[in-house]
Amino acid sequence: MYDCETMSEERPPFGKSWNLIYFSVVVYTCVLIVLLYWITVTLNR
Amino acid sequence: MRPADWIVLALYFVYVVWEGIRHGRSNANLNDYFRGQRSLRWWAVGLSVMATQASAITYIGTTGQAYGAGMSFIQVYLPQPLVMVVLCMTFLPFFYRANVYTAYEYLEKRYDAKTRSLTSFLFLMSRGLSVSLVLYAPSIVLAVIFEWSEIVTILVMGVTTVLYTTIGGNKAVIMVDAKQMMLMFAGIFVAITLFIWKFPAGFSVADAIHLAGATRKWNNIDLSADPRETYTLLSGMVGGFFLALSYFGCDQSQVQRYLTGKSLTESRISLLFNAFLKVPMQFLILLLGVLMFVFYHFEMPPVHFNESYRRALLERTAVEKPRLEADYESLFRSRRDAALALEQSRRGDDTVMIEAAERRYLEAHSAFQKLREENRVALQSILGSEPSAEVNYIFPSFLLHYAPPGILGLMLAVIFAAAMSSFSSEINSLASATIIDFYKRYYRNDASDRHYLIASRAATVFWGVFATMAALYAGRFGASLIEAVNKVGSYFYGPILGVFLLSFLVRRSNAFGAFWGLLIGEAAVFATAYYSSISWLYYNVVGALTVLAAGVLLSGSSRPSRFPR
Repeated sequence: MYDCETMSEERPPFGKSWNLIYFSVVVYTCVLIVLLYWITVTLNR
Repeated sequence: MRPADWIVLALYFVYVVWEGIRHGRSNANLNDYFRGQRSLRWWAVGLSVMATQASAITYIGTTGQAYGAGMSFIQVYLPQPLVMVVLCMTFLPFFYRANVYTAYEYLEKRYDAKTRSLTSFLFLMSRGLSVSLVLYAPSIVLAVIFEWSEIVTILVMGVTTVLYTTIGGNKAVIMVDAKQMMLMFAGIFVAITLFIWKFPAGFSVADAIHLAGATRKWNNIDLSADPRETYTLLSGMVGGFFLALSYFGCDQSQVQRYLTGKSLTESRISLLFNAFLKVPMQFLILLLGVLMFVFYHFEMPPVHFNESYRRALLERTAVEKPRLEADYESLFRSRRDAALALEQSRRGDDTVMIEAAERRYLEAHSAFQKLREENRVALQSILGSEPSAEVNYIFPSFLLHYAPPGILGLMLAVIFAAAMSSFSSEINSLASATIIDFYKRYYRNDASDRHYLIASRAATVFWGVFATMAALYAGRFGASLIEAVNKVGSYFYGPILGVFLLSFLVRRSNAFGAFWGLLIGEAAVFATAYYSSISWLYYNVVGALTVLAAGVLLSGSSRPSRFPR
């Protein structure tokens, strides 16, 4: 186990855990890419 | 410029200086001066991180780029939310818990003084060379468009920023950055409103979106796998990821922002705040360029947006001037009428008619663009060299001619805020690396707080004056040298990132592997740039991965370094 994992003991002010927040950022990035791709396909004719 | 614009601009400068000095009165030691007593809230740190990244060229150059090439630039920013997650999980806790002032200081705790000094030196060299461009780039554009003195513009920005950065230190920089970033957000929405307001009667936002689509401006995502292309999803997600990780994780101008958080949690939230806001913000800035492209269908754009080039073009082709202007106006009118006819046809359901209208519009657009391209070639022969990029002049030119009184002043304040927020963070970080990594480390390690505070202020003044003077002389170096400085700067990011990744990820790595791995990584980047034609975005990938590989191999042959807890 690396130190970065043991350093996450501080609880986030919102959400259940930091990992859940990080996961939501990853999902958000995927949504952004899909949304931008959708704009490219539908608006660029 | 009308009196209302000058008043808004003057208010901006007075406020910035007052705000900076107000927040910096309590500086008594290095912790106050460079880390703001580690007392800052997430929103201030988060906005400062954004403001440091957004320079004036982000506003004037990116909008111009979207005007010509569409939204494709957004792809470089797409990995930034993921980068923020990596920072929150690795870089940030390591730096924060190590209680360091500079990112490079951590490398001495992990490896040795030699590795720390080399990385800090590379930062000072690359950032020190490029910092003057933050002032120079917007001043040259504003000088051409508004016919201001380039020297006065550079001096006003330089002196004001050096004043509040020197007195206030990092806390002042961050608090002023935060206000400047709010102003920049306001500027984006004001500009979007302005474009929509300036559309002709009966022409809706939906029509604008459609018209931009007809010329393929909504090219947000390009799925090409060609590594020579810069603006593709692959280049953005791979090259852009490493570039952003290097910049946010290893560049002291950014690291110094999030080391000021009141707690590790506050610093983490400041980065997550960036993760959610950065891409939408960049999308809106690029959207300005697309809206501007649509706007110039109904207002005739100048033959060239750079006023001095326009004059050169019309003067040197004096014999052909009437024909040139007549052709230009005639083709502009054809395109405008075709655009209006296309949007009118869309109101009905007749697809054949819509397709015919679209064909006519694209033909008219292509003819107009062809004439502009011919003008560019003519200009090239007049100048004897490639004219400097027109993209930087489009947005300021629009503001000068179409922004109402007061709004022009506000938008110019936005451009100044973007330049000054980057400049202040950069000279502050150059000063911290100079004092912490060299002066305190090698020359005076037992002086009083007062001594270090004076030395830090002196270092800030030194870097501020150096950058301002370099900006004043930048024009004499010529465009090719300026470009070279920008490029060479990007050669150092990847290898520095590689050293930090080695330190975090490879427990057995040691000082020998890190130091020589860094030098080998640098050599690999220069070789790649010289011998291959891959996009510069991949240099960071090459540099970081080479340092990691070389570091692992070289560390294997000797004793591991201590791993700080």
